Amino acid sequence: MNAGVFVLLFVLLTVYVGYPLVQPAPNKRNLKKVRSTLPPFSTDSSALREENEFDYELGNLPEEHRLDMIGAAPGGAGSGKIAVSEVATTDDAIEREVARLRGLDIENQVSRLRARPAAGPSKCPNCGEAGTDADKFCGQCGTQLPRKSR
Amino acid sequence: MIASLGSAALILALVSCGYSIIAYGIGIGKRSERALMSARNGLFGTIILVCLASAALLWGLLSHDFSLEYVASYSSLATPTLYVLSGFWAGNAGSLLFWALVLGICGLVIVLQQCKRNPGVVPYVSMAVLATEALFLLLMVFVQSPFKTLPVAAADGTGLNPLLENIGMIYHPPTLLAGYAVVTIPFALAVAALFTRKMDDFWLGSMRKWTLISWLFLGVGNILGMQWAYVELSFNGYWAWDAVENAGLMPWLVLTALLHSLMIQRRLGIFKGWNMALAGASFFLAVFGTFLTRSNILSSVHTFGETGMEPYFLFFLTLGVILYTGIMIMRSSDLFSKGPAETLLSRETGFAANNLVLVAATLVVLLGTVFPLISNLFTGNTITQGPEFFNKTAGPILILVVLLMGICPLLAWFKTSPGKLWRNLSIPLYVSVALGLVLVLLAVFKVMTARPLAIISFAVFALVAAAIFQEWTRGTRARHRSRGENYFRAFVNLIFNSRARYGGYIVHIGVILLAMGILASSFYSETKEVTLDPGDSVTLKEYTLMYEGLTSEHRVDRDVVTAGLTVTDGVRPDGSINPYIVIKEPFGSARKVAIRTALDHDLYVVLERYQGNAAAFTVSVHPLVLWIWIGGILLLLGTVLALWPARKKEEGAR
Repeated sequence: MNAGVFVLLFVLLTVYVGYPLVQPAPNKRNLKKVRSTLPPFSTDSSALREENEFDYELGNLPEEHRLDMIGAAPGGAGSGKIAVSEVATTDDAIEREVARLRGLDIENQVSRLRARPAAGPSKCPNCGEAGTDADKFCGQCGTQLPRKSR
Repeated sequence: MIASLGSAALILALVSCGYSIIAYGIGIGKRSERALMSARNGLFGTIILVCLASAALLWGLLSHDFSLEYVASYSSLATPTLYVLSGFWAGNAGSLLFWALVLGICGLVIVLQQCKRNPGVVPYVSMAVLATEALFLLLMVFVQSPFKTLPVAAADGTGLNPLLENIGMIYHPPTLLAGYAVVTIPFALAVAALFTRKMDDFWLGSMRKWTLISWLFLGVGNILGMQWAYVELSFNGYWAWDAVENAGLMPWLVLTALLHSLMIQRRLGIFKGWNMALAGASFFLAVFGTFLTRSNILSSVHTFGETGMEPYFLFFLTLGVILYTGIMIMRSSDLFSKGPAETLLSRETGFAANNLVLVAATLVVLLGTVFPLISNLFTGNTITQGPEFFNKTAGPILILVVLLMGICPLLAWFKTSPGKLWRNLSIPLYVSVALGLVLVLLAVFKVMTARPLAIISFAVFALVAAAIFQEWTRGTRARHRSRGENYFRAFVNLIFNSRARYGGYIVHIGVILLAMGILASSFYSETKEVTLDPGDSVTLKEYTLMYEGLTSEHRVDRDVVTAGLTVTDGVRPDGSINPYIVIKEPFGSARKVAIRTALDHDLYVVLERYQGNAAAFTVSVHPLVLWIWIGGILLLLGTVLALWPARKKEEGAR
């Protein structure tokens, strides 16, 4: 065997394989950049939903299981009980559906719900007398009030 | 130069492969990004080196470098260029290299795919791919190298065996070998899922894609092999239940089961453990098949003779099966959860039944294939199971598979009421019974030979075909109603909008055609063996063949003896048919079949031998053989349709 060829290939391989080991720092920022420019993680779930709908249309999927299956799909395909009859199939309908979901303004609703118990008056579980959050005992009957979580 | 380049590339590929496996292990154990990066470069390096070695071999073949033993054994100056190229996979060492090449390329693709979306699995996938690659590199480095040099360069090579000089040589071995190699990828994905405990949508999608690809290559490879055997091997058939043919069939059957149970896992999240087991089984059966081909333990038209590779394969298989089973047992709590199986009569139970039947067929074929070994072990006599064994055992099971293939799509998910099943099943059942009755009447009135099994099977095929067409009609009508498209548009959109489903149905139709051709030709073929003097004639069915005489011709590296026969089709003379024998040293003689193909049957003539001017012929009429190949084409088209990626627009909308 010609030793020259072997040595040349060996050196090239060693440099290529060894380089990441001696690199000052693995270039993580570049990696992240690459990942973030990729299209959002796309799953087959909407295809799966269409298939389920199709089976339902043909009568091969009982009504009571239709919604279950959409929820049961790995990754929670349908993620919730959006009325399936409204599942968007054309681009316009998809746009409308997205707009409707945005319109729900879920984040504001959630924060409003979270804020409510702090603002609202608290009641004594024994006599129903109103008090404030800071109270440890009821002003009326003296019952120890449950500790507020917030 | 070529020899040293090739050998150096192979040795270094093995080194790099071993290093990469260890580095991945360290990288996972110590969570070291550097080790993982270096290991990944090791994987890429291995693949680059394997590509380099392959290029060197191709270069050697094309430049007729007869200092290489391999090149001198499988090509010669007179060999046409296309067959020179096919020399790459004609021999043992070259086909190992081809396998390693395909596996390397697939490994590269899967790693690039997964490192974007699912980087967690990359180390495990890579390790499984590398471990398999290492087996083939070890074999090439230590047992049989394609770059072994002759002490003195030969002036000319031996060339290909004339039996291998067929267009089939160019596409059958690479397709089948690629199928074997690609099976490694679903296996690697399964290994990764076992380690990472993650089987999400993306994993399922990749798994489905790669299973389908390997299934396609194995299926098409097997059918091409059948076609080649039919036109070249002159044993008057296309499938001999030869050990190596079985080795190609078994992983394909298991992959068929896997494809379907993956569908259930995707829909319902059950069958996880079963799928893992099937992915493992298909891979180990594929390796086992290669082991059969490369070892001398069973006789077959495909074996390469004494090779000394047995210990390597046995070691790999034993270790692999033990490790894989071990991981599966460790993860059993994740894999074997109770599923929501509700009733006996539902689509998922139908799929499960079909899975079991497919696995049963595989086991029967496996048993028949290794029977010579078992019998030798226990009785000291080697008893080989012939085609009758397989036809009687695996045949009916496979017909049951076809039946279930028709019924499953008619069942509803979760539960099917008998009334509903009847509504789906009635029309196909009427069609099937009608066809059955027609066939029985034909048999009663002696138009056709009475063969109960064949008639039942044809009725089953009619049922399945009718069920599929009913499903298409319903889908088209549903679309026509709900979207107001005209029927043609609705049909086209139906197929292209649910490609996976309708690709599957097209494959099912292909399988029916295939089964129909196989059944018809195995039950209704007619054969005559005759010895004729010039001027004599033989009659079979509507054909009369008159033997005209022999012509002999000397070509560069061979002698060709051709028999001339005039065919009379019914009453009119209808051309001639010319089977011939090729005599090429040192291979001896090869009989070349003459076939005249029509839609309903083939006329198949073999010149068996000759003495003076007298010649012995085997003349056969094989019905419906053309439909086997048409079925194969549908199988290919349907799978490609099912594999076709979703359009960009659809992806963006999600």
